[in-house]
Amino acid sequence: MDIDNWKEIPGGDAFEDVTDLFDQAASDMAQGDVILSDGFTLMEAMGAFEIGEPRMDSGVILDTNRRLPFDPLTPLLPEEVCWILDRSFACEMEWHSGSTLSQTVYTLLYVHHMTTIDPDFLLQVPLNDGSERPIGLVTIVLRAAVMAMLKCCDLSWRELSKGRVFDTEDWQGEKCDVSLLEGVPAEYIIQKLDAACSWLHSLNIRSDQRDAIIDRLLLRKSLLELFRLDLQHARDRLRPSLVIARHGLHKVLQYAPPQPLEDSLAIRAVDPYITRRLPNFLPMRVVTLPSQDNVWKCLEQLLDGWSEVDSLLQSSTLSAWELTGSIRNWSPPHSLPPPYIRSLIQTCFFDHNLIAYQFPATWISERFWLESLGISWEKVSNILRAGLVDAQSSVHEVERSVGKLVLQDVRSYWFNPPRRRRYLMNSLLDHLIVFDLLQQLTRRCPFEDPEQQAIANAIPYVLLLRQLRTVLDIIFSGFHQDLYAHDERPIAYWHVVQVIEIYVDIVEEVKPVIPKDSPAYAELEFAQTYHDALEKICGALCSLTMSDIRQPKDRISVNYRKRYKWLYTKSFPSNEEVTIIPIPGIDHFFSDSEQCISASRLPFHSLRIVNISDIQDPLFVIQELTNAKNMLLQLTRVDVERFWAPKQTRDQIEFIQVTVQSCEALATALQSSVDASAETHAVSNSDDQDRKHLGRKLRWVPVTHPWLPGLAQDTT
Amino acid sequence: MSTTSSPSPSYAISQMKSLFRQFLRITTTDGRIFLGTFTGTDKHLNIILANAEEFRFAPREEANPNGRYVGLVMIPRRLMVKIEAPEGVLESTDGDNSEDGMYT
Repeated sequence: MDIDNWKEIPGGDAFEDVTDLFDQAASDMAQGDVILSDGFTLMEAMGAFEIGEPRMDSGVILDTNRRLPFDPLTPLLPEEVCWILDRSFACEMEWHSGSTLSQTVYTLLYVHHMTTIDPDFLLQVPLNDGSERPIGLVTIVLRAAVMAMLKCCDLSWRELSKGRVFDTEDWQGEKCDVSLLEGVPAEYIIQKLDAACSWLHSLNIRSDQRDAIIDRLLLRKSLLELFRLDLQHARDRLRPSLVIARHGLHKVLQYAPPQPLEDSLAIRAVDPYITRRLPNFLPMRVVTLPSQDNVWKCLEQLLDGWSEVDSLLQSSTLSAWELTGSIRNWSPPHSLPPPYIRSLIQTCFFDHNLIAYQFPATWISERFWLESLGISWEKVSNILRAGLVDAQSSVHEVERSVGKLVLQDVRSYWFNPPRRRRYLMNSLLDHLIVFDLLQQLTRRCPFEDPEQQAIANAIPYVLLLRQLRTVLDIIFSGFHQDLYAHDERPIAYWHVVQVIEIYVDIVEEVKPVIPKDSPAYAELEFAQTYHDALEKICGALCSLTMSDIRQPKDRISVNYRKRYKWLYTKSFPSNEEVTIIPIPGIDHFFSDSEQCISASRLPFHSLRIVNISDIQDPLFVIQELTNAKNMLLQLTRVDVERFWAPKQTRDQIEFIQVTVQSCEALATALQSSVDASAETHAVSNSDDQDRKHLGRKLRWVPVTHPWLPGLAQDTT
Repeated sequence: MSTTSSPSPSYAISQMKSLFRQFLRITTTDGRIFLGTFTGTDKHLNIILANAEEFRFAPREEANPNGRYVGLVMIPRRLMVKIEAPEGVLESTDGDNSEDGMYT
């Protein structure tokens, strides 16, 4: 070992060798003895990381992981520099995808040698000696690019650490005591990038290689400009900066540097095992950085995110934020916007006590009533004031409660999906409290004017509609996150049908109050048709999946109580468990399903889809899916310019088109399956078996659709 | 540095216990030194160090003489080259189990 060559041994010289003492003590101990100091328990001892065990010891070096020594001042070829620059983007994007800095950005070893390659400390070395490997490519070009990458990470870190997205869930904030150039101004680094570009122009290398390096430096510069943009004061600079960045990315894509050979010096610049040298005691698995094509796609996704920020900041409606959030929320897991963008959008929505950096906080309440009821907040508040002694404080209470609820709701669209599901579950009670407050205020005094009375009746229902949509989101998120077992899916679809039943009834109550020429009316009609279609789809799927229930009732009831605990609360003063919204519980599901099986009827005999009577006829399912598809197709043809947020509604229609395709694919596949069954009908002679067979072919794949199943290919 | 002479059996265990809550410096076969608070061991001499720091001296390209915090670790005897304790601690305790250390 080389330890003796080091001048100073950790801890100093005042130590004595006690190895023999320990060996003797160990031999004196009885088999199974464990000696621990006072206050230190065996349980705590079991939490220790075992040194030498590769799965636990972050510092262990296996023979297969040995690396060649890295010298940061090794001169590099232009194409090697270009490749390293590309990998720096790969490291950064992988960090944005949720890996730790030590697995990604810190694996670029120049990060740890910024002083060593500082040209100010290398005055005696000529930066351009005319060779094919001028050292300036490292000390000027690479250093500036690495500094800019670190600064981009620093600025992202500052946004991410605001608490809008969650450390260790969405992103990893551990810096391992490595500097991200927190104290270096971004302007200084931009100057370094400009200086590097100027120096490259004076360099005598192939023009395509020079241009490729300059393109990468300019792309990095445009990203740094975007990250450091103060959106509150310089919002108008976002769009031009985005155009420059997209142009930069387009130019970078024109040239792909060759992959360096295994023994190339450039390869040594990236060390995936750097964690063993960093103060990070948790062992980290080695992350394989994405391919360069995927890196550019990730970067494009980041730029798309900024475009979305720009679009939202330009909009002046609450619907624009809610629709965008809703659409993003149902994205497949891999296409969720990066955590930085999700945090930035939440910041833009509400920061410095301003909405979108331009409206006061009261804007939320004003827009909420206008966009849901088509009536101004002033008119709503006048109705709430009628007959109240302390009217002002009550109206303020409503304004504050609604504002707070909607603010949190909008922010939650950009949480990660499990976190949002949890938030929605907890928010149901908040909805109920505001609904209760509104109901108390509006019931206090009857109005002589029937129009005012109708508005007073409708005001609490607006909150109830919002609450019901939240319940639907919670149930559907279970499909999106693949939480449901076989037995739970029919119950989930059954619940959706129950909730939509109430939703559609309440829409009928609210609709007459809304002015017919208002966008709110058009949107409510749109929502009504959409939910009608959804009810048909979920009713059909409930009957299809009913055969998946194989466990006894008791077991299902226990599972149900755990899965739907968010639906229940305790009433006062009886302390009995009641549902937050008036929908029937699991017992009604059992009675519905029993009737369905014994009487060959649908499990919704009390509901509006009873006109189709024979559950054992799979044609019913096909017909319901086809009807739903036609209703959704109608929605795709509506004039979106009548809506509050036409641009975002177009995005919503795109999502509806995906639902149409899923319905169509499901109906077609079912029809083929029915046709095939008909041929073998003489042999099996059992419709029930056909239905079971169809139900078991369903596959829930969130990439295809967040809540609807597809059909697996029949291999039998 | 001095080496402790071979003690009598019961005396060895009590002497070892006297090192509880003292710093131990353990050198391992792969060129690392661990410096941490001695909190426990077993018959197989798996030594537990709390608040440990790791210093690496070999291989040279991976050297990290400034150290890094690794927390609570357990080092098996088979990896140990040398165990060291601060000078004077054993003599001062004189075989009792007073456990005077940095936290008492």
